[in-house]
Amino acid sequence: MTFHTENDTLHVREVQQLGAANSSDIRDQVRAAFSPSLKNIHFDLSNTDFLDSCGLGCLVALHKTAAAHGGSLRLLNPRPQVQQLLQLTRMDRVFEVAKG
Amino acid sequence: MLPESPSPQPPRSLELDLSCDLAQVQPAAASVHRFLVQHGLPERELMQCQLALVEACNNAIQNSAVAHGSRNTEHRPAAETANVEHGKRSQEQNRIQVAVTVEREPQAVEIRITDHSRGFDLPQQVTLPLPEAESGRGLFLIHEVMDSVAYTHAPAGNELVMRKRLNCGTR
Repeated sequence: MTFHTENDTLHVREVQQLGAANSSDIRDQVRAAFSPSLKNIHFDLSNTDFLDSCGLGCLVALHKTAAAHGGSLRLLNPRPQVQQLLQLTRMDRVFEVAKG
Repeated sequence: MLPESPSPQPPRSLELDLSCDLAQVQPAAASVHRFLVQHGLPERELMQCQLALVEACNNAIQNSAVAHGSRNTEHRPAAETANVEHGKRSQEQNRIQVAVTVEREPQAVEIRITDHSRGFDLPQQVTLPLPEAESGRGLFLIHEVMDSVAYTHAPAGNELVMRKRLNCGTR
């Protein structure tokens, strides 16, 4: 996983798996990198080939973290199977999903 | 020139044993993916079976960890699981194993998960939790992607049986 800060946004990239085995760890690492001056989290899912309901819970937690800073979580470039999970759980209506 | 021999038939079923370690779920899902690819499952059904398997195994392992008072199973590499107090815990670990059987039938795939956890009550109807909930979507996903889900809770072991009907009759 890599982090990159641009203006008031934390960019999270290179997450291959986001599941029960690592979702709490990922959540904690992102929160640790999300300094008080930041507002938004852009989570790039283009390399994520495994997402389960625990990984989804991690994204919900980060959505709340960003909201507490007055910002939002944006999911970028989800693969089809990840996109399908978001649709099945209606979370595609909660998260901002975009290409970029 | 010898005639080309027919490719061997893939086995009809796949059996996997998992210990109480969430890190084993993704490799198990990868094995099931390979098995179902061998059987020519369409991509959509393949992904759905894999998702149901992952959620069911996560549930079984998390319930087992609670039932047996294990510490959080996250972030514990398989090697560590094998080494920590191996002698003392091996008997318990054998007991709390999760067994997975995937069977390819002519018109369906059946996935059977057996565990020895305290089990849970499978509701008649599973609804989505509120959007802000950080957990509780696993059972919903299983019901959403599989055609039938049955759960039996017994002292000898719990069994979750999930079936996915296939439109194509091909192997």
